[in-house]
Amino acid sequence: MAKSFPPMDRVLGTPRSARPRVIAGLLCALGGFVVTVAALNAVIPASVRADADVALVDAAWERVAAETEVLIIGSSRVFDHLLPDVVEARLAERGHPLRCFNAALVGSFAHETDVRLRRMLRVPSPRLRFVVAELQPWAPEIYGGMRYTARTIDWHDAEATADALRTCESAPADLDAKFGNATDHLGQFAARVTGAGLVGTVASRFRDAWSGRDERVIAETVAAKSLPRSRSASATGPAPTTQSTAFDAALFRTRTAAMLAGTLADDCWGVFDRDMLTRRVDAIRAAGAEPVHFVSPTAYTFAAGLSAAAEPGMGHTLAFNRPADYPGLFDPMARFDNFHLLRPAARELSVRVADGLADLMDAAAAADRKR
Amino acid sequence: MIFNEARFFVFLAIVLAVYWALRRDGQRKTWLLFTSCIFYGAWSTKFLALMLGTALFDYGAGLLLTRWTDPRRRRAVVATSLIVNLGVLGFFKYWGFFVGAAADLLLSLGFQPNLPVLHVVLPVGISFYTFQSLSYTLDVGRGAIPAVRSARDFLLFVTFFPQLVAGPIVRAIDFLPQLTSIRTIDRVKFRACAVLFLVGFAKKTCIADRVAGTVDAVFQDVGRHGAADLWTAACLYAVQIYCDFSGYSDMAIATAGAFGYTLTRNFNFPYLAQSVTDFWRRWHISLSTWFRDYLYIPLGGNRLGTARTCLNLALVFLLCGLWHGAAWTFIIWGLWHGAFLLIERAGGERLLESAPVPLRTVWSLGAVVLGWVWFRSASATDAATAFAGLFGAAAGPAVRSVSPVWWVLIAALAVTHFAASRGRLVSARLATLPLPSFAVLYGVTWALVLFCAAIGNRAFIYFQF
Repeated sequence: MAKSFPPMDRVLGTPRSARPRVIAGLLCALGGFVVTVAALNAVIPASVRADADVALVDAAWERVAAETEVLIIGSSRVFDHLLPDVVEARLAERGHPLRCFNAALVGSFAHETDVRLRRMLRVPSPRLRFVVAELQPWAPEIYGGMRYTARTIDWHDAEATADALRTCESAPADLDAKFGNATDHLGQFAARVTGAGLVGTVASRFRDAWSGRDERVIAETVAAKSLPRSRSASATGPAPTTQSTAFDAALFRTRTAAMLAGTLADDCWGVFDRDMLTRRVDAIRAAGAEPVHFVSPTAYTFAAGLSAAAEPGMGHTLAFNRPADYPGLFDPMARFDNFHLLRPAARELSVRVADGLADLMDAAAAADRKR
Repeated sequence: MIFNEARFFVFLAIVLAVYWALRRDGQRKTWLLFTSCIFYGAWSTKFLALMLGTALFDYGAGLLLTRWTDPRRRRAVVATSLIVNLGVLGFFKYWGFFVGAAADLLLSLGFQPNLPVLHVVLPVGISFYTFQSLSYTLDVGRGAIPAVRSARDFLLFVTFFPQLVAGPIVRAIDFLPQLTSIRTIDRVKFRACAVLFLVGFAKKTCIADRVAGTVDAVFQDVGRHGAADLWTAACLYAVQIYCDFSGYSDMAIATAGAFGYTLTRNFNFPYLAQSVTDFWRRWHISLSTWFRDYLYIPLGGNRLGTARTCLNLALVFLLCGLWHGAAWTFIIWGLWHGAFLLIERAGGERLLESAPVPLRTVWSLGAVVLGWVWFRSASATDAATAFAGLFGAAAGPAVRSVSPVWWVLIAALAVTHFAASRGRLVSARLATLPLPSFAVLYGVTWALVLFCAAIGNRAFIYFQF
């Protein structure tokens, strides 16, 4: 027989089979592991552990939170569509000079948005009046390139992971897919708890800070009131100016036509969880603001989500997924792709959102006067 | 399921705990066979059936070889086994390649070929388990070992999950005798297994996966990069593939060891080789010895004159390249190594022996690292572009995007490789440490390795073979 490898006898000893010794050994190893992980977690501050983009938005938010009145949060459908300068200008025109901050991130799905919103609302923001949060389904799946990224690991705290597991359980899927999605979330949670892979994140954060890049981007972010898209996608600035080559305009037209005919199924990429929506609303109200659920102009009905948001006490909704009411936003020539608008349409949408907010404030003022 | 993902750790803990809790050796083997099927079936139940089917065929062939003494009938059985095993391997792995190559050839001759195109999915680990199963029929056929009576034992030999998908290629002659003797927990060197598993995991996740991004970025677009980037990427790929594959082998050997089974050594510090011939005694040893014993020596080896030896070597390395994948790049890689072996056999090795050690290392490392360029490139055209760039003959202006800091890592790893070969890394003191101290140290090291790991469950390179 070929020589065994490693040369075990020469290098290492042989434990005798004694159950208490094995258990004691395992406990000691676990103890060493836990203490080291705890020490690493204690030594590395949360701001360094976070993904670069998230940390920069958070840093920018800390600088502007005290004077911001409208916080906007969600995915690229919010980041690209709600331009803070346009919203502010329109609000001022309508007699409501409020300051906006767009904290949306490209690729941020509902679970991540919840975690980020929770953390951002911990920063004192006494003037905050509205939180415009994207109403989108809670997705059970972590999408391709987002798995095991610093950002995804970072949002998998215990509460978010428990929520994600609940979504995996309730979303319609076969058992294999449910199990796969659940283990995926647990994997990210385990990575977060153990600090797995952190050395890469920490090194890149130190490199960015050392080169002064962080400061430059935060200055840029505060000036633009949202993170430049160049950090997370190919286009520069929010809302792209040229159409995506991958845009399937024919499919988009078909879905839009079905929406107009009222025959489009409620086929979104996750579930609308009423409890999670309630928690989001409660968190926003606890921070002294009013929740505004924003639905971007996409060819999805989100019927379940809209009906949950329409329940009493759930806040206000600005839904733009209605081609009959907003035909200009559903013109394929106005779109980057199925989900996103080109810049001129984004400006139009920003104005409409500002109008929606102004209407809410005017209505509230009228109600106050009546009283 | 791969060794560097969380669910494997859960799977392994359960399998190991139940295995040692079972009182009878037969029950343990049945449990191992069952869990090995789950391990492979988690990827594809269809291909699990294929693997079990071919394994049962070889098991039957072994029984026939025991029953029949007529040499002609025995030869027919061995030949049938060869045809079935290589036929299955050929269909799944090489069909598309050969049909494509034939179509290209016919097209270049002015024909308009209309050959059947099938998009065949490659079963994970097919090259490994086919060779393993074949070694059994060939060994029984030539009377080196008796046939196995127990179907369970034979299926366990083929499907044993620690080495199922990426080796080491276990020979029947090495593994089957282990199945006939009882494994006892007292004989298991758990400390050694635990350390080896951690070393393998660290090699894979802290080194191979960390350099992978840089290597991929350069090899995705070789034409854009200049000589400095290409040399760095080629050397980093040498690091990546070694740490990836030897890391897997370490984890496989350690896992098997925890069940009381010994697998053959697969690497012996290959980058310290003093010649290309020496490299092949140290790299993927289970494959190179397989080809030596079942192909090179039966073809006549070096016993039939210089010309025949050269032909045998060329054929062995051509097939060795083809074993790795159905692509021209692998074939050229195999022939590249074959050519260096021929040069050394033609007198080069004698010259090398008289040369200083650094010169010998440069010779063998140079051949190996440049060989990896063929191996890693997406196509032969890409490889040719890379070679032009490596030697300063790039067609267009080149960018420099790879940090020279990588050379610090390469140098550090070279020193580590050398120190490890001298046995200076795993201190003998570990053996004498009291269990609690060893266990705490082990837990601390795991936490640090995880901290440094590149996570994301990146698959092992050799899974595709």
